Amino acid sequence: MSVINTILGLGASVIMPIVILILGLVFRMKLKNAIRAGLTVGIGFTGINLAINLVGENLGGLVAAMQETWGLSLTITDVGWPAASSIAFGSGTFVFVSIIVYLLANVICLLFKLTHTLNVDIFNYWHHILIGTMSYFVTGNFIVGIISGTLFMMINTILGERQEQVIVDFAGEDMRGLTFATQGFPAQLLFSRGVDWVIGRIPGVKKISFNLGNLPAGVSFFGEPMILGFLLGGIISFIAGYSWESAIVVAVSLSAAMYLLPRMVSIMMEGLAPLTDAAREFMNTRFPGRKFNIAMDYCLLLGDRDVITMGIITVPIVLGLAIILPGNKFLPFTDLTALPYWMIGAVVGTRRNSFRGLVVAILSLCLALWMATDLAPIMTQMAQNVGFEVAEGTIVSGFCTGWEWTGYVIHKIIEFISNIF
Amino acid sequence: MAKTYHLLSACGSGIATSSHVAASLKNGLKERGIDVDVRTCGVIEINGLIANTKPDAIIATTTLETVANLGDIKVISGVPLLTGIKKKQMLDDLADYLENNC
Repeated sequence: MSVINTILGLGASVIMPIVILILGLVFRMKLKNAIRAGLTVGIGFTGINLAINLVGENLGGLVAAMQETWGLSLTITDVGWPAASSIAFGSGTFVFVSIIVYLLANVICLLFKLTHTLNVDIFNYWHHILIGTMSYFVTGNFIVGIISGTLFMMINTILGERQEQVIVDFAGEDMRGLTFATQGFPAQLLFSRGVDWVIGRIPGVKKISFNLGNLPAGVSFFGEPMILGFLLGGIISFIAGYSWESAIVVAVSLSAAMYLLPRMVSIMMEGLAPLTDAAREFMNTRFPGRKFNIAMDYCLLLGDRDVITMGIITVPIVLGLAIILPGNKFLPFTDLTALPYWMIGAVVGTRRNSFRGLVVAILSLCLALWMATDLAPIMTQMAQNVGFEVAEGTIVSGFCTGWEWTGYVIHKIIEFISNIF
Repeated sequence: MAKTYHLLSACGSGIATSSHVAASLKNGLKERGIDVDVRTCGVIEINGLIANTKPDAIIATTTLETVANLGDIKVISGVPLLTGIKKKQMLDDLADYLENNC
């Protein structure tokens, strides 16, 4: 018993490999492959830890300096979604139980025909586990946490599959048979379609329609993570009053962080890939002959020209909003390159009408900034809990936390109820 | 003499699905006796990578409509590797293409 407790106390880089190993064996992977998968995930997690320290050291200082020099109340450091995903995967027992329960819930819903989607997108379970962990922390109740995450996961799956036709209309028949249930996307798509519908009822405004078209050729250069990190890091350092030597050091370090973080997640994904494949085959043999939709990461929709355009022009928009939005304390930085993801709903729901798309984008960004601000204290707690070094007095969050809309609502309801008792 | 082919695995972000696809490609093609090295990337980085690394084929999980310099490089969908549907066929076709055309 005490050996188990010791292991659980060693932190995520030790726990995750063991969790993945056990899951791999459950899904009938060969022992050698399961060990490789587990260790690879652990290595990815360790790598993320290293890169996050780069962010913390440099961005944390910037945020503090901006406060001093300009009195801006943007006190929260954006550690980005790679870090958020490893925070989510960080607490051994909770993660292990969550994954099993989510798969069981999916099976039960398939049996009762509540869904026709097979969701073994195990990597993306991190969104649901993240919200579940928050509910667990806030109520102190493990089971409530599991239920919170499971609700998020199943509601997303069902809401996602109901909008399959909208996606096929947008991206073509290639997307038939796929369900996009990632993060807050089903809710965002619904929101976007709703706003589109409302605008369509306003006389005059409903006629405004244009498409931004192609961005000038050189612009995508500035969208590359390493360039964005370097430029923004340098500019913000300069505004914060750093000397030019310090500014360059910060610029290069942040460029490094923005480049390295996705690479580390890549390593984690390499480890998870065989596990996901094994889980999918395992489920297929249990339901022979049934035709399922397969749950997919919505990055499949990211190549679209309008989505990329919207993702790039919202970079300056969100930075401006962050400064002027009342009640916002969040400065998006590391997650700026993830903006295209969160613009997919806006572009699809408004059917490429850039005017309406921009309206949806700005509304969504405001909501996201507020949600990210609201969840920051608990994210900081969770980060420390899994062993990330958070400097004294710093608050961290990821902009990604502002986009888990369905999960946010579920979590807030749970928090509200638990406050009553 | 075994030749190593160079593949580009592209998705929207360069992180999530491109890594999964890359792992599946390496394993799947190894089973068919073909050695590959796979570079993962996001759509935004492709222009530069095509110029620098001249891949033998691109396996994409999202549309490449924004890429200007594809030329006549073979582009195949990587979605079968993610869904498992027609995965075997896709790998057979790709192995075939690499051995006969590169």
